[in-house]
Amino acid sequence: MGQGEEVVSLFYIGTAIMLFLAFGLMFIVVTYQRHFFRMKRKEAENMLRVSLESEKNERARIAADLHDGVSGDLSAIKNYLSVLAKKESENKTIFDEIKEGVDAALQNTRAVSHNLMPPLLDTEGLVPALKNHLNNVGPKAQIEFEVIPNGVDQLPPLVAYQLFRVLQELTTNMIKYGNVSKSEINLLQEKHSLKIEISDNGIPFNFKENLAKPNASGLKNITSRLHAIGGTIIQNEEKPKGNQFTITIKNINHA
Amino acid sequence: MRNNIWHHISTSFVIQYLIFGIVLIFIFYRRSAKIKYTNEYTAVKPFVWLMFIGGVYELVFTTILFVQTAFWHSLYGLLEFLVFNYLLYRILGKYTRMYVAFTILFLFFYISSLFYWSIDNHNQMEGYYAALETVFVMIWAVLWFKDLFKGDELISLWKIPAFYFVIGIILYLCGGVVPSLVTPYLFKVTGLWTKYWLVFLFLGTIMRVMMIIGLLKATVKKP
Repeated sequence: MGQGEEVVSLFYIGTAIMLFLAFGLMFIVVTYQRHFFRMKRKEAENMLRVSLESEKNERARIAADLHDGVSGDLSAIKNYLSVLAKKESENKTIFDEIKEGVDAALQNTRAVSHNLMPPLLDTEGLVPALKNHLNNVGPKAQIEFEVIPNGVDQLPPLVAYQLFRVLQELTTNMIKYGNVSKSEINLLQEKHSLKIEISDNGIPFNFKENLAKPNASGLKNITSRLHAIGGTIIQNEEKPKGNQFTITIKNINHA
Repeated sequence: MRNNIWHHISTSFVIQYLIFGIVLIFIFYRRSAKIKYTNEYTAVKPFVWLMFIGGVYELVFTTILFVQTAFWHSLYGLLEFLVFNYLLYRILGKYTRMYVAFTILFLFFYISSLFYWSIDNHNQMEGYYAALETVFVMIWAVLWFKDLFKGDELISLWKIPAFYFVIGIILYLCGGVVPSLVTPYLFKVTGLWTKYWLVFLFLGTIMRVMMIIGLLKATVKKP
């Protein structure tokens, strides 16, 4: 090989090696960044799951404390008042009023406790708990809620809890802002997936647009809870009147 | 005949470089209304001007007027380093001491080399400038990548202008350092250099394209 050919070979080989190193560096950086993103996303999802689980446990603890502690104490006060009322017949009216006040406090405590953690959710499942909740809030808000279970089975406790909260948030929004008179919640279970269609006849509102607003904590809560159980929410934008949302959970067992 | 073909191709790159220089200046000033990445925009300004001035000089003085290229090419080596050094320093936003140290080291090397510089060996000198420049730029690039992953923000690399600037410079210098060092020997031994120099010119095109993409990412169109 002549000297010229040697130098030409050195030229091409050297350039190829340097370019390979440059592309290699680029490739490593891009691949590492993708891996880094995936790890961060997983970390964020785990933190969300842990935070929602802690919130659920804390709610259950506070609900139990209210039910066992405060309700118990109020019931005891009510009993003492009954005894006192029998003894002090002169002040019966006052004692009756106090008893009414204590009854109201007891009811409110029970309502707060049930709101924090509906007992039916653990014992009976999503559908009975949801029906019970809507039967309580519907008449006061003058909304006719209809839940159509379509034979939906018992769902895993975490899925049932998060779905309950999501539906609770959606129905609360209907009551507060929607000017709704009728709403239907249709549940459909297919093998391992679950679909929930929520429709109402109220004022139309754009979920995506409102989610982007800074004060949309309720809507962000909905998407976080659904994300934690592998669910999604889509709004049917073609509906001419009212609103319609579809919640889909592709794999309930792996949620 | 064959030499002529390579020479014509080489001339086409010169025209291309001028066009790129004009495009860079145009984008830089036309899209200056709303700047998404102020830091990168400011950092790339000297580079944009160097590309423009370089393009004009190469076409007018080198290709048309046949002025001796040795002086300009040697000066360009220094200017290119200063521009890349400044660009990468501004993008990182720290390591001031390293920036000063690199500048001093390169200037020291450059000024020392002038004692041995001549029109006959200027290509070899430019090869040495390119080699030192490549080492310094690679250090900046590694630091930039390291800092990128330290941050809490999740930003896609394809969306940030600095990524295109860094990759463009790395490809240009890494791919061009061997041609810069070896081409003078190739000329001595084979009498040819234009054909081999095309590799360097091609990489220069890639760098300019990456810079344009980076500059477009850094700026927003005027309303």
